[in-house]
Amino acid sequence: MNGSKKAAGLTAGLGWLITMFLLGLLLFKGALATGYGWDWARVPAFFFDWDRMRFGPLLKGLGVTCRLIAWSLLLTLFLGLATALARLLGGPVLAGLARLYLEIIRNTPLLVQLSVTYFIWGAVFDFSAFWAAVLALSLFEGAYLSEIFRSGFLAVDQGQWQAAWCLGLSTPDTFGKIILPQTAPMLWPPICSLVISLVKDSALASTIAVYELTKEARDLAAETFLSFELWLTIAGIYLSLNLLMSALGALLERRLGRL
Amino acid sequence: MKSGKQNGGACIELRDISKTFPGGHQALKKVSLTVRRGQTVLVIGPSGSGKSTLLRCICGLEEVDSGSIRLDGRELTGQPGLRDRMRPELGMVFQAFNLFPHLSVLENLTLAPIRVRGRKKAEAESLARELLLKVGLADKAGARPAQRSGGQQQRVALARALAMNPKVMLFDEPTSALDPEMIGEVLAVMRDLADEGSTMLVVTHEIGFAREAGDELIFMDEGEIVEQGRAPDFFERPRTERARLFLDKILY
Amino acid sequence: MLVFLAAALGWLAWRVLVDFKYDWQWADIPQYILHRDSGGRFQLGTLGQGLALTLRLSVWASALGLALGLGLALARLGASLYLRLAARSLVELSRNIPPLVLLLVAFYFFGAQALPWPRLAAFIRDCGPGVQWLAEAATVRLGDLDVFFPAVAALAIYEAAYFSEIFRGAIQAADRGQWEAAWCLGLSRLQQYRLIVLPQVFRKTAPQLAGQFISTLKESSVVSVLSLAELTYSSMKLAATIHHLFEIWLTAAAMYFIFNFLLSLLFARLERA
Repeated sequence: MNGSKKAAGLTAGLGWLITMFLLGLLLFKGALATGYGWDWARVPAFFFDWDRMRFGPLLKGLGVTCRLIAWSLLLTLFLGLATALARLLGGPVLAGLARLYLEIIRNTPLLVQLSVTYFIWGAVFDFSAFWAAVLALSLFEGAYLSEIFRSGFLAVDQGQWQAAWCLGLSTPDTFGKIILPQTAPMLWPPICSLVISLVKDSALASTIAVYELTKEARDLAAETFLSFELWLTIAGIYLSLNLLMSALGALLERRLGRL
Repeated sequence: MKSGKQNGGACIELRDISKTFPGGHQALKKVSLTVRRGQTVLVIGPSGSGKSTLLRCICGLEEVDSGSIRLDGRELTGQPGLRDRMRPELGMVFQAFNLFPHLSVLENLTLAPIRVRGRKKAEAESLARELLLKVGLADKAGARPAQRSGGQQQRVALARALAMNPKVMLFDEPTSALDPEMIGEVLAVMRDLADEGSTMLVVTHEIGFAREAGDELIFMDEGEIVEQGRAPDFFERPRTERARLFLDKILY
Repeated sequence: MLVFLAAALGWLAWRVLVDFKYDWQWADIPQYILHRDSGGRFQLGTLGQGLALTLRLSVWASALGLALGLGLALARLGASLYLRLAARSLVELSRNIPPLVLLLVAFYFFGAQALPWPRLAAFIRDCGPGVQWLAEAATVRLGDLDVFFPAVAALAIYEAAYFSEIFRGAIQAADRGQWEAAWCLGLSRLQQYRLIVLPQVFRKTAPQLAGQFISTLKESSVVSVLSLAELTYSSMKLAATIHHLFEIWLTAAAMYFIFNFLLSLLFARLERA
């Protein structure tokens, strides 16, 4: 019984590989049909320029993307936590403001938010495009993060609070020793998804002239006309980045579970 | 007690049925059983004795590891095609009713006859209404199942299984999920069915019903048939120690 | 805590309104949303038309995405390992690549170069003004067809990944008893899906599907990079022309906001019904 299952699995896997290969072939043929001249050889140069020993535009762009993500993560964490606390523990005014912030973010596109932030806050406070992007991304993801925190918090049974109160525990103690350990493992997967969303949304910063990966690629494509090679490469980079993040997330999740 | 019923030839024959679940728990240990046409067989026993598993193996929801199951002389084990076609012949009534909530009572009954047997809608509906009349729910045809009481829902489930005109009716603890005041109405319908000569195999906790309604009573424990015979004999003169222990627990 | 926040907001407001020397010109804006033409009838202005195109894009992308998503969910739950792998690959691709990149890839591969869009446009024009009006009302100005369809395709694939997760979760969460009862009555696997499980799944997931449509409305702004005249791009172009940057962008944001917010309220209302 097992042997036939293995055989079936093998044929399926092989079939999938063949399909992927055929698809790739189709793509290439389609490109060729339009008179396109493939030139993969030039791509590595975009990463690193050996002649002049400096980083090529793509690698520079990747660096900017990483910086963008890192700073945004920090600010997102802060904003997400603050907003969640405002909605949960704040008075009606604070909670109302937080709710307003949330609804505005959730009902407008990120691109529009980026543009508004860049033009308006940029003009008022003289931001560079990079920091405008960090702000916009953080405001956006922070809203969603606060929702994650809030739902995690609310998911803990009321009875836990009541039991802790009857035992005489203070609020910070209750929160830290009782509530948080119960919500934390539940929160990890959505937080991982949020980080991946952040990586993907960072690409939109290209529309306000932040020279991260996507923007560099677009400029390069306009210059060299190597659209196919470039875009496939870029897609590959983002894919790898996100798969890496997912793998890291899964690893940390297992570690957290064992704590 | 049954009156003047004909017990016909073998309808269901189980020979040496064994089943072990993936966790290692052996639910059935070489169980053999024959249900004759027109007979009503009742299966009782403690929780975990394998009663439900037995029923589910017969109707095909679970696969047996070894042994043979025959329906009207035709071998079902190892014959996936035949087994598939024979599904509606083994009418199943579940403990949780499992009515389709998005369909009306009438639609619950007519769905399978139309889709599986290819009956015309009018024909299926008139048959369904007859069955609803029989189980005492003629006026509830258009309603949604969720609004009905537990007892009513189970009677609809019964009618739904009957709509396919099965060779055997299988009951998996049909009254266990019902409030006490509704058990009677379902048992009454089952008793009527038995009196009409339906072939029935009933797994139940209702000792009163088991005492009076069946032709034959089977006592299962730990995956085996421990005692088999007529109901009065079992309750008054249990032959085994296990049966005695069980009766002590339930008849306090 | 509240005092601190109030102070911060106050300072912010002061800088924006008082310190910031900008000549706010709101009066010009409304005509770009809706105006009266010479005949006295209402006509959509640039921004209004942009919103209309956003709506059309989203409807197409959501519809296709839903269908594709359902297919992917069924494939992932099916018996064929081949289909499971294929569906999983597509979903993972959509979920790990930025929609912007997905869009640009789709454009270069299926856009101007690859398929005969000009011929299709000419064909529709030849069919007569009635057909042309219908085609343009449903999609976009014929000249932009070569951008419209890759945009819809990319958006649909992106949304399909989310739809497939919604459907997959709901199908897996379906009560086992329903499957069993349907099976015992003799229904085939296809019938079990079509008649029993899927109708219930659609009912249960309706709010999530509605939410996904609203998400699509927002994601559609990404299409602006291809110069397709939906709301975001129209705002950009308008800003370049009449230079009232802030008013335009705030108006665009407000349009998205009001539209989406009202839609969510509508869906919440329908859900309760």
